[in-house]
Amino acid sequence: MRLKVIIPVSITLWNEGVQALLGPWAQADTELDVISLRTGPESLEFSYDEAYAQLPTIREAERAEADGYDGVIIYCFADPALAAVREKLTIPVVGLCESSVHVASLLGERFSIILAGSETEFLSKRSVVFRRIERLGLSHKCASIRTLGTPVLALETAHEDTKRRLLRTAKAAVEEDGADCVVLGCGGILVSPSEIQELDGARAIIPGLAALGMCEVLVAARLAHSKQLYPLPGPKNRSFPVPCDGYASREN
Amino acid sequence: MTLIRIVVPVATAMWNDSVGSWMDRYKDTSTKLSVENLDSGPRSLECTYDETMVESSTVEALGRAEEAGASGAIIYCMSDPGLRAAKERLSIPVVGIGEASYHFASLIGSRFSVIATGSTALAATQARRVRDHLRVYALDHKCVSVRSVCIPVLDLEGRRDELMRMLLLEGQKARDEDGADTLVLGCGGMLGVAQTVSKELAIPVIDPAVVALKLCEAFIRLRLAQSKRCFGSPTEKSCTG
Repeated sequence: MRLKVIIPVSITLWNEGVQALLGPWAQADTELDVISLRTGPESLEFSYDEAYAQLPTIREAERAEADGYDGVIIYCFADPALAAVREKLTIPVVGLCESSVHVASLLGERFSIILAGSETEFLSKRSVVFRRIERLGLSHKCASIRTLGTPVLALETAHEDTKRRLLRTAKAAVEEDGADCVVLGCGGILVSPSEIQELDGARAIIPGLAALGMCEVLVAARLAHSKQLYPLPGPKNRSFPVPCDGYASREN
Repeated sequence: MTLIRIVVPVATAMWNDSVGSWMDRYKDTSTKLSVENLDSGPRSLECTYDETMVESSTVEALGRAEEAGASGAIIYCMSDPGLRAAKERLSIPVVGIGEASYHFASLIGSRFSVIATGSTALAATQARRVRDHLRVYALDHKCVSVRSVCIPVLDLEGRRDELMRMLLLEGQKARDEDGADTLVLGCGGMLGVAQTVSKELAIPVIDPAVVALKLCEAFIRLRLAQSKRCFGSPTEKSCTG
């Protein structure tokens, strides 16, 4: 199967790392193509960033379906444009947050989410993430939401520090908050399962891998999101007076 | 080779071949499946009484699978008998076809309907059982209805035409009257019908055998299994009897 991984940011900082993270864990017959956006924010830490990332993400997802891909992974924990893309596409589309909390709910009873981002952004990010898992109907399984305190764009340059903070924060989530699964709440935290194995019996859920697994299951089982719930948007003029997003306007 | 053991928790071998060959169509090339049933107990699970009776022998059978070198295990009944005990007992991933199905229904939709089996007289009992299980998984708020094809499990194979007719009828009612956006086949014995129902009614239909198998394979490949923090292994002690 061919899967398109869309990192909804306008920089290529993560493309190789994400390919390297997911590649070894994919099914033998899975071909992964990782791309980022031509325009949009460099990282998604605010609802404002998310709004800017949505339209180009939709355009790339539409292109993926037209190019014959079997599934799409929107590689960001904010799951930007997930519902919109599910309306427009018929192939399965998964997001990191949604996949991770479902996997955590299958493997345990109480999960914690560890976000990236500076301390000053934490309150708003926590409330956005909590509202998302509330909408998924799984918020009562959430033991806590914590942060690494590292800004998203600094995660890779400070990789060793990120790993240290991650282990420390995960340990606190397990011991103080009672988590049995710890969900890494940012696709930019590029650690492999071998780097975060021992959490005193608790499971670490790496969101990119959870999304990859769920997407592969859906494609293999010939399932996609319900068109009763996400009906195809009808044709009408949706063009912009000025092509503001760097993508060609379309009229259907 | 990755070995996955499927335990059909009933005292009849009537499902083993059909479950095995249906899953063979979907399995990874590196997966090897073995299907077994229980030696004693009820021949089908259609009430909580039946379900409770098979729990300990199901867990024992799963325990033997891990000792025999299986990398994953599947409990092949929508009531997932012994699932939580097996998650404690085993370190390899244990997947219940019920739990897996309800999660995938929640992932691709937001309101699902379960179409169960069993005699007409037990239809309300089936609905109560499904809701019991969903409450444990904390997904009951996503279930809009539990309907039934009103065919006893042991008659499913012999009444295939009626099964399809009833699935289409009840599935349509679930979609149009109950507002379901996704259907879940409520019995592991409804093999090979999901795609047809899905196409006819233009709605996704969860085939429990397929999602459970693919989920189990994904867990094995990603080296994931139930959290031992909340499904801690039972301590050694003697169990008499």
